[in-house]
Amino acid sequence: MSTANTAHSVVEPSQTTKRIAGAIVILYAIVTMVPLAWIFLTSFKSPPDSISYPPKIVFQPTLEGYCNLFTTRTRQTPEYIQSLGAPVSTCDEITRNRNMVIAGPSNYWPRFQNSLIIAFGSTFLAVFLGTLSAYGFSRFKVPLADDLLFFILSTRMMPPIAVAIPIYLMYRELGLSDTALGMILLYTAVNVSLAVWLLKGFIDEIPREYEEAAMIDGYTRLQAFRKVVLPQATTGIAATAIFCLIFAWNEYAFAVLLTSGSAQTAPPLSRRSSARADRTGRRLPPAPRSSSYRSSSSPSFCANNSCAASPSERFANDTRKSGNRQTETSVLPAARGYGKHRHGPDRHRLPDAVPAFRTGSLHLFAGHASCRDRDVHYCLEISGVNHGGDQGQKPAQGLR
Amino acid sequence: MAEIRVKNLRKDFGEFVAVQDSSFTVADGEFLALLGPSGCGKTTTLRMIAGLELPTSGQIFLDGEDVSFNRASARDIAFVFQLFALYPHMNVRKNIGFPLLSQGVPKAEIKARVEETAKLLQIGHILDKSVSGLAGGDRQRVALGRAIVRRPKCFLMDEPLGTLDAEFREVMVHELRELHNRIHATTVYVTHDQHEAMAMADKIAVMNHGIIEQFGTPQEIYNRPASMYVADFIGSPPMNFLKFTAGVQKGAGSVSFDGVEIALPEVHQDLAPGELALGVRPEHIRFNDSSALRGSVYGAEYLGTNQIVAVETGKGLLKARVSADRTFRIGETVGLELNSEKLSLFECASGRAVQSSLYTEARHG
Repeated sequence: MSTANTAHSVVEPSQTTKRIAGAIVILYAIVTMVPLAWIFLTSFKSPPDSISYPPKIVFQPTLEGYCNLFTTRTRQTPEYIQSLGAPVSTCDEITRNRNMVIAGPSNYWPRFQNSLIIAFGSTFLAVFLGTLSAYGFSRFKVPLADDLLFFILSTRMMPPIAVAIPIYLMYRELGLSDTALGMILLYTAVNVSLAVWLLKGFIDEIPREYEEAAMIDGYTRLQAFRKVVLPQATTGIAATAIFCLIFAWNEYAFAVLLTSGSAQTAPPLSRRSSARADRTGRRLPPAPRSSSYRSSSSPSFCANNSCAASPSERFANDTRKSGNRQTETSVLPAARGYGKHRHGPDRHRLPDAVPAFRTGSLHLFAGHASCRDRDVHYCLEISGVNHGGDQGQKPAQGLR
Repeated sequence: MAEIRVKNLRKDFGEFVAVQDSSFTVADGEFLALLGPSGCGKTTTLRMIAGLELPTSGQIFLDGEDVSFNRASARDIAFVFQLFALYPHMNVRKNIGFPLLSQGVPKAEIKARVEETAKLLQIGHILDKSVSGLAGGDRQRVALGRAIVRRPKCFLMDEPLGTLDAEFREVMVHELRELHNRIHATTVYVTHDQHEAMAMADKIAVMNHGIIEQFGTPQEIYNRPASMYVADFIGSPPMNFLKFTAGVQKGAGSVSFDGVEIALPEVHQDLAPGELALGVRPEHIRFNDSSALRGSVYGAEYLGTNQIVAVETGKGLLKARVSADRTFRIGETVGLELNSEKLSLFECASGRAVQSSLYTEARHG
């Protein structure tokens, strides 16, 4: 249809309609972009700016958030800092201005790699298993197919966190907690239901004739599947893989609960950066846990968001701001006490597992202010199970 | 090329009997059309020959070898699907070469044979195109190409012209028959379109409710239908039936119809009194004012070279195919004369044709 005709066409919208529609779409896009833009901007704010109220739109940009994300820092006396030479990098300078020195790289990159391995590994497994079973459901007479499909779907019908405790215990028993394999298996189990359902739809759309033609042409069913069905299901497989990947990449609750050291993914790590700063900064007077200091990690969340774009972060961040401070403050000393107990003089190196688990769990449940106390109790119970009876008692006492 | 022999073939889908007690033989190089309405079991029969369904009972012989339960890939047959099933992720050349690839034919030979096939089907110019952009006819030719490139024992085609528009279908009917004349491949062709079947097939099997009603040449099926079903299914408009109640003796040369004696081929069996139907093709009716069989004109369809005139006789509507010269008025009373040599008689209860000299003579002659 030529453009001259469009004004008179019944089905083509008029120019005015198109402009209005375009304006609405653009406006909506801008509105939805605001939070993302805000996160990106926050990553360049200094910690006080990031939590100031009313929020600052104009601010002095700083790389502190990124520095905090990629390095570990130690608090030092001003005399010590002055005794050092000139700062060697921007980060160095920023850190020194905070009375700290860079102690080394943070665990961010290894954790980021964990994220990649776990997300891609579970996506591959889920899509692989999903494709095969979707093909089976689509093409063969499976006894009780409808019931089985419903059963597969029903695994998604409760919040995964409801089974977090049993899974945690199970994993501990099986030696799967804090392993990449464990996380891959868990995300695969969650994703495979989605994969089966999505892929079944896609494979149903591919006419059987293609495989039948291939089988008549001398191929076995498996060859027909590989050479004829798979190439045509690529779009569907890709779409499914993206969904699975997004889930595995963003998953926060299980990652916090089940990983601590070796297999930890990026989201829980950046969440913990304040805790680490606390730990490493124990030479300082007990002042450091003023609320502004603890909140100092929010630009680094945003930095992580800008690097790895994980919305669950945002959620965690909000939850944290929305009133969990008290709980966290009370748990952290307990964790520290536990660390002392276990490691004696080595005060600088708490086992990763302990604070990660405690603070992580608290954040996990922190959304429900009304049952905060019970949640705290819950988490501590787990830590008791985790680390043996007598040691588990201590933090509990510390809390109460 | 090979002979296909089907023996007592049966297929149940749960309670539903799709095909029962089918037996027929397709001679080497013969073109068989399985003709019937949808749901009559013709496609199921074809799929059993192909190996895409396994028979509930019965046997299928390909060149004398029992292949009833062999895998489809082990039968060396080619199948052309209704929707062609051209692999959308391959171009035309790869589609046609795909069956050869599975046989491990060397690449150079695949190339040569694909091009030879394309030449035969006159699709050389589209070999490197994507199949998704092809027109219906070209898709059809590519599907045929994929079937013939392998030189299989036989071709099975499942309504391959079903999706083409009417005009193009005629062109393809012609092309398919031409192709068959050239390569003489044993072919089983499923269709619900009697014109396709009549135009292409050497033999036609008319199926209904899973049963083969009649197996024979197009001429046999048209002129000597074995049952009322076949008579009604074949022909456009179909055979007229004049129903009456009478008993007929062996050797009788006429029946009494509504007080009118109508001569017909000599009956070869005794019939107890019961409901009978006299079957007459529209082209075997002539208008003759002196005839005792009378009726009033109900309507006329002008077709150019001839016209179909519907006449209400009091025993049912008769459609006559007559010359377009004469103009009829609606309601006009006319006399009808039936061609006594071409009449069939059916028993209404069983629907089967009554044996008469029409059937036996032709069989011997």
